[in-house]
Amino acid sequence: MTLTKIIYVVASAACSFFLLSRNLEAGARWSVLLLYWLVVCAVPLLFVFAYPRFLFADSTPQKRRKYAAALHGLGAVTATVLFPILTVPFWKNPVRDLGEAIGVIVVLSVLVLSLVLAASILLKNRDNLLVFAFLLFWPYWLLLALANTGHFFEATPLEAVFYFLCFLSAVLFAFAAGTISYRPTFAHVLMSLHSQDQSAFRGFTRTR
Amino acid sequence: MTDSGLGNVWLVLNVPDNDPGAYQRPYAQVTIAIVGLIALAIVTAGLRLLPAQWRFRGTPLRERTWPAVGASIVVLAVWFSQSVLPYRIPGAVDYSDYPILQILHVEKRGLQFHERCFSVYWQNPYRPISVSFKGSDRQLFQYRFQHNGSSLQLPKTLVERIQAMVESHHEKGQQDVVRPIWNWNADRWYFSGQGFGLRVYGASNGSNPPEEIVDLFRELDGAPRYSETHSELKDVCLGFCYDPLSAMGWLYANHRCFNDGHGLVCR
Repeated sequence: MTLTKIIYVVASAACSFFLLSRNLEAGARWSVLLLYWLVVCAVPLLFVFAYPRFLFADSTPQKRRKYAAALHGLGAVTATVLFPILTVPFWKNPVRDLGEAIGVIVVLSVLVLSLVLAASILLKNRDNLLVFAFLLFWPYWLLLALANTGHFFEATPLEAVFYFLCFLSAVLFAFAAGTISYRPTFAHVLMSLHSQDQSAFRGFTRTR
Repeated sequence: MTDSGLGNVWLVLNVPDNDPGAYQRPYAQVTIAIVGLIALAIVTAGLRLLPAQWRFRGTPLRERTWPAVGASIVVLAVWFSQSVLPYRIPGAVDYSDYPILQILHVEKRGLQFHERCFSVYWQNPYRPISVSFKGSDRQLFQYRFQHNGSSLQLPKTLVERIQAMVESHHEKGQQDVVRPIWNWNADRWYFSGQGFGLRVYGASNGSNPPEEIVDLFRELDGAPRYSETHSELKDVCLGFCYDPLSAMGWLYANHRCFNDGHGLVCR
């Protein structure tokens, strides 16, 4: 169980690190990339990893789980639909010309997300805040994907969807890793099903 | 993990250290490791979903991890085998001059290769102006190997002989298929040029090289050399992919691969 969890966590980290490294300028230092990944990806993914603990706790009513599944499903689908609309053709990308500002926006978003989650853990009535915090997750992840498409993102709408699903893979890997302890079969099914999205890597692994 | 036409992540490991291109070896290494990890995670998930009654030596298969490790290694091996042939360095490099005549002699003894290639270049039509030599004494299972080069000073008689040889062939010659040499021992000759096509002579097809070519090679080999250069090449297949065409200078992706309208074709 622990080994499987480690494998899933490492896959999630690897997947997100890979997507982040793709569009960094040639010659970027690995230490900088690692720091960037720790701030923009590792923290949110850690929260995703921890989310099943709240979601599958005995005290959580079944109805809340259903709502959470519906809301996150809707969040994921909306982000997946919005991504090609916002990135094809590439000049429509709203964060394309923001330059350095996007880094600040992303970091600020993470900080807000982290603060909300920290507050949710500290406060007694943490359930509502956690739900709110995880609803913030999807706009954040969409923003991160938009910021990492590169200046000239040439893709068809379908390819753009696959590209975003690659970003989604890292989230689902982290969620599956967190779910193993509570719903192992569900976690493995989630991993296996999402392997279909790995085909998206084909078109986007270009040699620098 | 498709080839962009100018290379792929495995080929980045063929880029010489002193290459000024933007290809980053750490990026390729990390990408390969990441693909391996993702494959491991996905196969592990599939393995954990196997029925509990499927056992291997008394233990349920779903509880084991080594099949997933094995499968991810197989995934990497298949990807590797589909990516590294023919030998090429990623990127597009157009030479300022292309040879009008090339003679390559490859001797293989066990793991040892001796490759010697003479290339004749011209500036004005059919007037050879320079001859260069490239050669290497490399071994299989070696990632890095030394590649030596030099220029030759030709006597006038030899220049005239080459000129006569080139002028005597104007029609498009036969194009033989060149493959990597995997025989234990081999002695092959490769001859190419304008009007000659590309011919392979050696024990494998039972044909011996024409005396004219062997004599010319020996005379070029005896000519005085100057401007010696030493460079280092790399082969991610540990010498198994570097083939005679590579030894003749067809090193870069644009020399070996092109898009025929239906997809990437490499030779």
